Amino acid sequence: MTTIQAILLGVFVVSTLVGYKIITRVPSLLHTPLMSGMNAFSGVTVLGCLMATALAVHWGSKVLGFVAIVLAMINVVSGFGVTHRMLMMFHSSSKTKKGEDK
Amino acid sequence: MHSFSRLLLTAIPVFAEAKTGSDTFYYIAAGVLTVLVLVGISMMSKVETSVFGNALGSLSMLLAIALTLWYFNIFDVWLLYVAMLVGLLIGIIASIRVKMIQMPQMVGLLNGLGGAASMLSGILTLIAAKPNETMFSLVTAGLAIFVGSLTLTGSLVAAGKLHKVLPQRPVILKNHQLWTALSLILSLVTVALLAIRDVTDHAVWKIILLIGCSLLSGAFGVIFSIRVGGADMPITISLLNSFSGVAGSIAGMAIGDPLLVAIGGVVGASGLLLTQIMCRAMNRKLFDILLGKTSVAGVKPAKKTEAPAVEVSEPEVQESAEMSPEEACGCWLRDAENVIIVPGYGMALSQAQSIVKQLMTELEAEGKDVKFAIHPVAGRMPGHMNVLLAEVDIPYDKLYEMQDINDAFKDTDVAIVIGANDVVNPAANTAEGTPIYGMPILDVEHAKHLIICNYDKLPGYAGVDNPLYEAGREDKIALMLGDAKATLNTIMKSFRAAGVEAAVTPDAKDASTPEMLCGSWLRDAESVIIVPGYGMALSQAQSIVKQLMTGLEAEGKDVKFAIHPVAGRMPGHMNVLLAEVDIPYDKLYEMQDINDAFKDTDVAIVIGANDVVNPAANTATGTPIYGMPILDVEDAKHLIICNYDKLPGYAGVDNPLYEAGREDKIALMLGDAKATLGTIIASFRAAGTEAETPKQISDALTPLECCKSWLRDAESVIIVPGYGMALSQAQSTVKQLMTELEAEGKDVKFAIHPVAGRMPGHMNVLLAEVDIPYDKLYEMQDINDAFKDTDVAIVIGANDVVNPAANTAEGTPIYGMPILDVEHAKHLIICNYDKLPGYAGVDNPLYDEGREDHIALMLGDAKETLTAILKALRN
Repeated sequence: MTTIQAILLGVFVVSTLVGYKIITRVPSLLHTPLMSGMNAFSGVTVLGCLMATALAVHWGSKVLGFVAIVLAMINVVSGFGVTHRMLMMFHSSSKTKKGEDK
Repeated sequence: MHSFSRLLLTAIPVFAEAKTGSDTFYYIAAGVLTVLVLVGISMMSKVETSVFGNALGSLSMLLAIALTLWYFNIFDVWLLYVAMLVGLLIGIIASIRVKMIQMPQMVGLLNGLGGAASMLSGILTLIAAKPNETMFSLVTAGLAIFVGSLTLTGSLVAAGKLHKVLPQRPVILKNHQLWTALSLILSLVTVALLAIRDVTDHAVWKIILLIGCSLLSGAFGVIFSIRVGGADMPITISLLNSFSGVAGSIAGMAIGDPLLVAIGGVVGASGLLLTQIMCRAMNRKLFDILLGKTSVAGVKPAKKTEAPAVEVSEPEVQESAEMSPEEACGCWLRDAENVIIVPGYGMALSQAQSIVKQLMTELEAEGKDVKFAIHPVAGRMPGHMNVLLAEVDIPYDKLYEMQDINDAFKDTDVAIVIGANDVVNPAANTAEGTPIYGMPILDVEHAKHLIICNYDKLPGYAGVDNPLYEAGREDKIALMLGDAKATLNTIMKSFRAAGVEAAVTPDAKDASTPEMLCGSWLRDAESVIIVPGYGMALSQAQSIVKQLMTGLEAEGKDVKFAIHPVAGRMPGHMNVLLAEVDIPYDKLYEMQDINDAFKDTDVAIVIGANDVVNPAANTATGTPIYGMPILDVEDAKHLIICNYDKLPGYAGVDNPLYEAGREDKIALMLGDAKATLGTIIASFRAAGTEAETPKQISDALTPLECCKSWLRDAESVIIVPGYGMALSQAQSTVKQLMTELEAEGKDVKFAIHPVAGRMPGHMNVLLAEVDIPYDKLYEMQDINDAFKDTDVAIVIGANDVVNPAANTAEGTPIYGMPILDVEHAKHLIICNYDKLPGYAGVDNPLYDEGREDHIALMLGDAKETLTAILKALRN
């Protein structure tokens, strides 16, 4: 195993642990938005798809890459979209609540 | 720093030559973006900052894409932009159009897409791999395909189950464990082979392996998730969420993209954490679920511990039920159109075959379709049953083998099981570890009604209890214990008696007037066809028709509209009127498309149409309408006719449907359509409440009255929502109830069990949708102590999560699961669809009789029962 591979594995372990720690603080109230938000992040694989598609030589690879980018983008955009929609529902109720308080 | 990044660069050979951007800047930027993502996620932990956190997350994703484009100098590859644009558009449309109730399946579906992208990314990496590729890249790329593909198919299956395209119950293949292991091992083998350079040097082998790896991993995903039942979905969805992150992370390792690795890792961790929380909340072990030990499998031990209790309570249940099993048999058979008889060894023992023949003859004499379903191992030798039935001259073309008839049970009105036990025992599908587990059975349970003639309730040869014998299903299953010959005789008598009764006074007890008949027919119906005519237009009754449709659909009934081409006064007249009140046009069927459906329809409602449904058109030669194609409403099981009077229609031909003497099939509601429809809706609702609360009517206070007085007097109320609320979309009614109660100065809180609903936080989303402030929502541990100081707790469609048996019933699947202690509240209102056990299969003691002074049971659709409570409160 070369240094870079060790570093990549290190990045994986550290980010997993840090992520775990951060997410423990999210209340169950927001678990669905959290999940769909995470879902959107899982579309980060679009980066790999972009790179691989751009550098693909065969047309077959280009087609596969095209499909991959489309799917990943749907994942990202829809994921953030529905998360936003859900959060706005929570948000609007908190705003009206605050308005009443004042 | 610079030399470090140079090291990174040279170590990623696949795309090394492509890099042109500044390495140092790239890695610093990647680090910053990772931190931004983490900050965004941590902002998701508070409602106030969550929207910004989400925006920050999406912004960093955009920056990450830009960074990648810049670093690899692929700005000018137009293909990428086209692909991204397509994905962007589809994504935006999908996220706007999806309904809140569909969120679980949406999340599942998106998960699958992410997995698919990771899989493709892995495939592309391997295709582009050079001969000098490092083992690390090859293995990680292979793993990305594996995890990505299983995430894709697993998520699709999960989404299909949540969307009810696939069956909710666990689907278990023969040798499921073996298939799981086989697909898992084979896909890992292909991953390993892909990492061997000698193999992948040949392009053909590489392609074959790539396809094989994708397919095998996909198969593993399907096999793994298909056996997870509906209620375990929160766990599965969370786990798949984790997988999709891990897939991305591994794909990142393959191409050496630290950003991908980091973010994928965070997603993986989040999914894992949610999975853990769900498991804890459901008292399940993750490993059990991975192995497919769904909670249904635990039913068996549950039954054993509770067996004595069941025995004791059972006679009471049967006594208080409206019909004895004998009467039920008679009525069901009378109303049935098709009957399947399932003979077993018990028939042979009691030598009942000749009486079976007699029963068949009698049923057929009444025009009913009778078939026999023969299980391959029924009896004591191959073909045993066939021989016995042939002995009494039952034509062999009525005998069907299991595989030929199993699908027919679901369309069958009554199945009669005579002395068969193990071969119809549904436990074979669920009770893992028992000798019959995995055995193919006759799906008698799918029939609308089930008559079981058996000697006793003891387990059959295999020693596994038969869940069909359990108490509490008297409305569907009639148990006739004793010698088959004797019980079959009783059934035949009852069948004959029911016939006489039906002829004289249909359901004399409770439904004598046409209005009441309408109500009870509609209540029992599964499919309804509405036939509008000019009378509806005249009375402008379309909005009330819409109301009727909504009411029926809310109860799960299938409603269609049959439009005769000349109904009304212009072509398409009815369509316009119905469109005016927003009745979806895909519910409107033209005559030729729906005429065949009438015979399978429970109730047809004719509203102000006359000539176009007049059967005289087929028979009355010489009349103006003779030969005119009509809607065959007469073929429906029951017919409700709303017409102004009994006079002939425009064509001047008397309508035989209006004749007297057919009151058991046709209800004539004369008068203005608007008024009569109003009556029907009222009667439908009344039939519902009657059906829900038949026993308590005699009591001093009906449950509804209890609800009213308790809520009036209450100072504090806790509402416990469950999946039933989601199913019936009752959240806005819940909101209304909350507002009403708060207007009276009462303190209202919501108690949210972590696994209520079908995904983590499901209830919170639904309640937020109707603007219920989130600070009223309390998590279990924060509110459980408050129940004992609470005046009224209202449980809406939650069952297992409030089931006190979790504290006491050792050996049941829910034992030890933390529950909401609703029982401690002074009064308890339970809105539940029925009294059946929840997903875990454990009876809920809260539903027991004799606690009416403490607990009010409001059975039926949550929306309706809540509306009823609201009304009672207002009056």
